[in-house]
Amino acid sequence: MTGAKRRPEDLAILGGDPLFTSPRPIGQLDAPPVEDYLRILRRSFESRRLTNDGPAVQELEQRLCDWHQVGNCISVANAALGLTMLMQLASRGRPGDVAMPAFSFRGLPHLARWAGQTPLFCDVDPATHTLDPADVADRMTDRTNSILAVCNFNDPGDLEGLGELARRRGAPLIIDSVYGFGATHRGRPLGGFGTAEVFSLHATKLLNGFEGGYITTNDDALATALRWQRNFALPGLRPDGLELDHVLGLNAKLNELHAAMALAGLDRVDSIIEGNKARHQAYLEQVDPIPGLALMPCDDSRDRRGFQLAILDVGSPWPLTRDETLKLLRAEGAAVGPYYSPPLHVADARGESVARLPVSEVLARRFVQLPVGELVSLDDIRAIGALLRSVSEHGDAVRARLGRV
Amino acid sequence: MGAGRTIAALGGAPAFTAPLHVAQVNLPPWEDVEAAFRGIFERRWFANHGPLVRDLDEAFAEATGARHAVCVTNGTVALMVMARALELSGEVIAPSFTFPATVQALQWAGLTPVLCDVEPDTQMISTRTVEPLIGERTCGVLGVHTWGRACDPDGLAELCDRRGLALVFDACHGVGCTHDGRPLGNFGVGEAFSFHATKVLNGAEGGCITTNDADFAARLRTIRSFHGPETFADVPTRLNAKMSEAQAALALLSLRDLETNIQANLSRYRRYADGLAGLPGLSLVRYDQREQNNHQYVVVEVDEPAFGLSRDQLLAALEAENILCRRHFFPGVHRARPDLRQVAELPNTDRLCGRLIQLPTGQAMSPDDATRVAEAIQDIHASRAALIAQTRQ
Repeated sequence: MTGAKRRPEDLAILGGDPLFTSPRPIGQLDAPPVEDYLRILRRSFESRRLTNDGPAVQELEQRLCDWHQVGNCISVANAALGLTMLMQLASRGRPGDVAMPAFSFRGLPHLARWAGQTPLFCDVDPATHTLDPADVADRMTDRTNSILAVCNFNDPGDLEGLGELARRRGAPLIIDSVYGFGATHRGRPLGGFGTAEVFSLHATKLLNGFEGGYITTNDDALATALRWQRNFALPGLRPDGLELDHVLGLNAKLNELHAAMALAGLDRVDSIIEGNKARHQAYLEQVDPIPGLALMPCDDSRDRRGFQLAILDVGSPWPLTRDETLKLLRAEGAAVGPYYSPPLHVADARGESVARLPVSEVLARRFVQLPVGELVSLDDIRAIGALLRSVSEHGDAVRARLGRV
Repeated sequence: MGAGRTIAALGGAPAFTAPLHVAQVNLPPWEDVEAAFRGIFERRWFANHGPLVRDLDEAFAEATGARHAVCVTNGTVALMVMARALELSGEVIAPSFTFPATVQALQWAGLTPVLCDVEPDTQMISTRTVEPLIGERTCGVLGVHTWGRACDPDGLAELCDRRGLALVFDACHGVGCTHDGRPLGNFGVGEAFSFHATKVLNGAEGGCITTNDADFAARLRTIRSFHGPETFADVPTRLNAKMSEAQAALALLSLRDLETNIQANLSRYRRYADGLAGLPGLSLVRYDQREQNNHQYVVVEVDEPAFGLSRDQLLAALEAENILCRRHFFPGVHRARPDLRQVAELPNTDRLCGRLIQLPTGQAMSPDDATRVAEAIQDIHASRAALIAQTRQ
């Protein structure tokens, strides 16, 4: 790390040395001790089972059922495939649409299309930034085959309101809980809400399984269908007594290399969350005194949170726009990104006119996703804070010089 | 064993004390695996376009001679991404005599499969079986290189060119195989491979698409992830189809060992060929000596009247010997998926689905094991009358 940046010309974007010589990422990137990993992996090698429901996958699914206090855990090759499978099952093979938040992960509309569905973008709640049941109720039609809600890192959303709407309208509620790992809702761990929830085991997420994911559900028949679907819906393994003609199979199996990693990480989750919370607190102390900047709050006084992300809210009188702030930080070696921006209904539009979703459109202009995870130290966060203070103090000068760049 | 042995199905001791499976599971030496994974942990780069995936993309392109190779999650996902990269809508003609994923991948990509019969000898689709199915909505043909034997790349290319159709191949059986001396991976606009643990090249799970078309490659690479810096073409629908560094580490070791593993398959295959020679009604799927094949599949066709037992009777008797074979492919996709459009009867498919059996081969088996399996089949054949009598009781 380079020294304090007291003058505008010290900023990397204005020609100074970058603050960080190696990029500070925005993902968790936890790693268990390699010996722990190899010990678990070796067991799979010795049993000559590297996939197809191997020993690590079986143990992982069992332990995740306990973790989430849920009846079924179906591991998958990644969360995107898990969401796609659920949307395909929910459609019962009919073309139609999937109601989803416009302020969310950019992949969601793509996954709906893989499932033979059309995304139906809905607005989010201005306070929680999660799918607004009232807006979904207004927009959904008889063609709406499922509702896809998304848990944000700081708030799972109105799961009761969405659940009630889903029941009333007869559409399954699928919850993307990738950022809900480690969180509870009204005292219960996420995993047992809605029709099914989907979690990720991607390396940038709280529980690292290289790539991977899993689906949780208390619906035993759905779990049976999903297990069959992820293994090609093989005719010889078709479960009895279920209506499964519409199920489109694929290979969505989690392999042992990945399951072993997630198993090695599972005991580390509490300490990972502690580290995340300490970084969150450090950001809070650094950022909140700066005029125009705020850290998106993450309240764990009533329910547990995983603190997977740190989101900077950029507004007046901070001297730079959100996009300028992104460029400023990237130049310093902070691998920051815009948070859920542009909104999905804008990003996904291909020429056609789109509905106005005012809350999503405003939110999508505001936030910067800050570096987090195991490769970001508290000193790094203090250095980012000092940099931001310096920019704030020399706001006019920085603005003027940036204008000339 | 040999003459006079009581086969297990008639109460004798099984030929094998531990079960034999149809699966390659070619594991590299543990020390090499361990070293590769220590490297990943040191770099702390686990996913997202890491150095080992880049290496594997290059190494597999080099191994096939194709200009581009794009490694992905698994073979089915490779087929899905390849189908999506065609950017077509409408019908694609594909065999019914195939693994279900061939046809499922088309549906995931929004295409409509039209199931086609195969030739009885090659067990694959041909210009003769494809051409009558071409209609107004047909946009492409998906050939399958079944057992790693090429699916008439020249004839189908000529037909597709003439009729303005896209041609792609399911090469999930095809690592290390050639057509006219040229590796599979260079035919059609794209070819999809599998690196599943049961295949000759093992990435635990894994797959890859090869192409010689730069635009097609740009679409494949873009569809592989949602990442901005990995955007090389304007494609409407992307996926998380990424292979991890863990899969790539294993697949690179397996690619290094590929020739050794193919030779081991070949030596087992030869033992089968010797051991089954002269048995009436049982014919081993043969490979063209002028081409390379990975010999990961040992497939026999059972002609019930000549052999004296049906395929399923042989299968059950082998199972009693702890020899766990497979009915690959059974049933045909058209039997399992009545919702799919089937333009014509598929008699050759039905016939093959009732007659083929896949025998075990893989790293866990020695050449002598293959000889013992062949002997067990001889014994079962010799005991066929008693077996049938037992079934009737």
